[in-house]
Amino acid sequence: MIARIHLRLLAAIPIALAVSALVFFLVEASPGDPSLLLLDPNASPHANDAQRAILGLDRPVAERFGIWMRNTLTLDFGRSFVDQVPVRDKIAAALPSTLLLSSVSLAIAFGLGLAAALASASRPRSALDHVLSAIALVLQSTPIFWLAWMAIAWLAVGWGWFPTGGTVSLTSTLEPGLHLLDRLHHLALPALVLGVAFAGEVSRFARGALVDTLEEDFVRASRARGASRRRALLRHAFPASLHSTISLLGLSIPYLVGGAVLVEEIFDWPGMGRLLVGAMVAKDYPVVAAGVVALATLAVVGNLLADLLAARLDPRVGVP
Amino acid sequence: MILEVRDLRVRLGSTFVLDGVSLSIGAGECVAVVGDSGSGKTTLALACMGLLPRGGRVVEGSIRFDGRELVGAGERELDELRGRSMAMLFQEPAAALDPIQRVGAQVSETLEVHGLARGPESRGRVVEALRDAGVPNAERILGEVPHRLSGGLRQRVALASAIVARPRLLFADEPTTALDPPLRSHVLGLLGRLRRETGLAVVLISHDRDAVARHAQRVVALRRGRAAEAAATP
Amino acid sequence: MKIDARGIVGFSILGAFVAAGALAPWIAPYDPTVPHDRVADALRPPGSPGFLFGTDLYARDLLSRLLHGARISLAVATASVALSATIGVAVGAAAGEAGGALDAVAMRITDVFLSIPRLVLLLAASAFVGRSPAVLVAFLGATGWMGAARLVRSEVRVLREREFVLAARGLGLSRAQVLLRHVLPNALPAAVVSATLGLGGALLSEATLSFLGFGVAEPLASWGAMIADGAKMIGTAWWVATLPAIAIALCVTAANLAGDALREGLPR
Repeated sequence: MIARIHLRLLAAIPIALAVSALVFFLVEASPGDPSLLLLDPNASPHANDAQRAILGLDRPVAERFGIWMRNTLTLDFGRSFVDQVPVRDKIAAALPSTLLLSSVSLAIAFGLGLAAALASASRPRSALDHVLSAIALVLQSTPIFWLAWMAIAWLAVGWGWFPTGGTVSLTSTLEPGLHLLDRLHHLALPALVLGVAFAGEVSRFARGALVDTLEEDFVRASRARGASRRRALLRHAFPASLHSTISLLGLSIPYLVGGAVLVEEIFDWPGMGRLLVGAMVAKDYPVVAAGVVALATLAVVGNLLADLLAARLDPRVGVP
Repeated sequence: MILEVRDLRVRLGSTFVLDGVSLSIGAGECVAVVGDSGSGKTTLALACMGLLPRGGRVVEGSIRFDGRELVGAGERELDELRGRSMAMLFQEPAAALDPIQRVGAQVSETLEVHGLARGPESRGRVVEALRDAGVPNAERILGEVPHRLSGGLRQRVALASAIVARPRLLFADEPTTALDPPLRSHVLGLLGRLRRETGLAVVLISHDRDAVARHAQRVVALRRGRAAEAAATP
Repeated sequence: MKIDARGIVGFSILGAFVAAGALAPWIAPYDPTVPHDRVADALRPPGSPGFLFGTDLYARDLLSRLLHGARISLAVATASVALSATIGVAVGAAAGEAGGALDAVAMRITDVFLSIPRLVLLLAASAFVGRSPAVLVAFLGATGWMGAARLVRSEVRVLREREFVLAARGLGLSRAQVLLRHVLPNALPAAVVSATLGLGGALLSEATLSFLGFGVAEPLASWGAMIADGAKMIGTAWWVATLPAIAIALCVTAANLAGDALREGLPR
């Protein structure tokens, strides 16, 4: 089983390579000299000549492309213009934070979204159903960044329940137990904002899947055995509809990753998003290029994992 | 009379699937409902069980179970009756079993919901019902998931789940279509035995003329939602 | 086709905003980029005399900025959606009609594009290629065609087998002619639905990019940039950030309602 999981995740590699190729062409499409983007403006001309040779910047496109792709495969993305740190290291440092934020947000979105969907499906076409659907619609239409700032203004600044950003308080001389709590405290608001924003999607998918499943014969058969509406919904329709919901969710993972980028920037959360945006502002192009590939890969892997989970839950494929 | 249906009119969406159907059945009897597909046979059963699909509605008429009016009855009242007093065997056995839940849990659901038995007693009754329905290795399939079973086996599991609580009325919607001849006669034989031994009333919805002729005392023929009743030669 | 209330509401709201944006230069009371008396008129709340929706930190009239913001945001979003629809129809029709290897490749490419976060790709485009509206439209368009492609592809596949198509082929029309004259016109409604539903996403993406500072450059102010301006003051001068947010939410909701209504009104 573990072997099978790994095998399917390998499918992420060609996509990561494709994204890297895409970035290569974006750089090539830059107005002005593309090679200028890849050379550190602060380095000495001597160093840059060496870099030119390494990256093959004076060679024809095909060769440059080959070198670029080879570098991608070896995870060699050069060094940051800002501090000479290898780009790979910067990404490795930022990735776990993004994973943490994304996972917790996803969990929150799932919890809220499923609860809303169950409430809706248990009373279809009722006032509650319409209200919940309307809330989901409006939530999906509202810019996340506005929600984030409202949350900061009301919950962080206004009521002081949460810190306004970062990962740790300045008073970092806390014992390990409290330290963890402090970290969670800082994670709470960004994860909540992203989670609530994403919950709309979840509830929409889940409600649709539930309503469809409720019309299946086996649900009616359970009611024929005396099961109440509630039992039929929770014990029969809900579990059987999960694989469909998760499969749809998988398609939205890229959107979640985009949201994470945004939320990280607003809350100063030290993940890939803040790294990417910071690099863009600083014109630190090697980091931008690698960041794009890394984030795309993260989204792809998330998507694949969701598909695997959905397949596992699919009654036709078999639930152990 | 266990069940008395009078002048039932049922609407599904914008069409009248049943347009003035009457039927009555007493303990131990078997009434067959025949007709082409689309004539409303399954809808009749669903209406009596109170399980019409979304958009379905009883517009007119009366359905009395043991003298109690079911049309307009509350959900809780109907939940009480379903499984324990009235049961239904659905047409497509593959579709009528929860694909994720294990066989044992599904067959025992009625017992669990109505608090009729628990634990080992429940298991015992489940095994008994499966054996009655013609499943040889009843214990072995308790932990199985339906899609791993053959069509015939699924049909028998569904039957077991319908009779496990010894209901008084059973709607059997094409109970023999998925089965080969030897099993067919076994199942029909079982229904006959239950009728004689427990007074089970069976509404047999079927294409199988042979089965109808052999088992039904009366036949209700539906054509486009309307009924013509005739007696069958016993 | 039934008249759907959602469709009417959705298209009316969208129409109103599009009209407002189109007419902005003529109906805006002030120049959106010119600050007024900095000291006296900065951060005036909505309803202040002379400023229907108030002013921002630089004493610029919000109503005028909102109207001009509508202009740029909706123009970019609409143009990108048209581009997406075009690409989507082309890819979908080719894949559906040709089948086989071409179809497989097209679907792979669609999958790749679907797994890349749109915002990330847009940021990359902004960093490397530039920030003009043209670049924005091009990349928004290039990242939004997948839905249309899938819909059109399945429509084409279904329609290919229908009698009227087979009859046309029997009459001697070439595959291309049949595709253009008979199949595509029937697949187009799917493309229109896709486009309408995609409008919301395009608007939000453009707004997000502008909010982060990588969208269209000043002085063209999009709604997203306006929210960025007002973000830090949201607890006090809430209108600076919230009014553009409401505008965005209204437009996106309207687009979704309209798209849903269209999709359910599609002849089957």
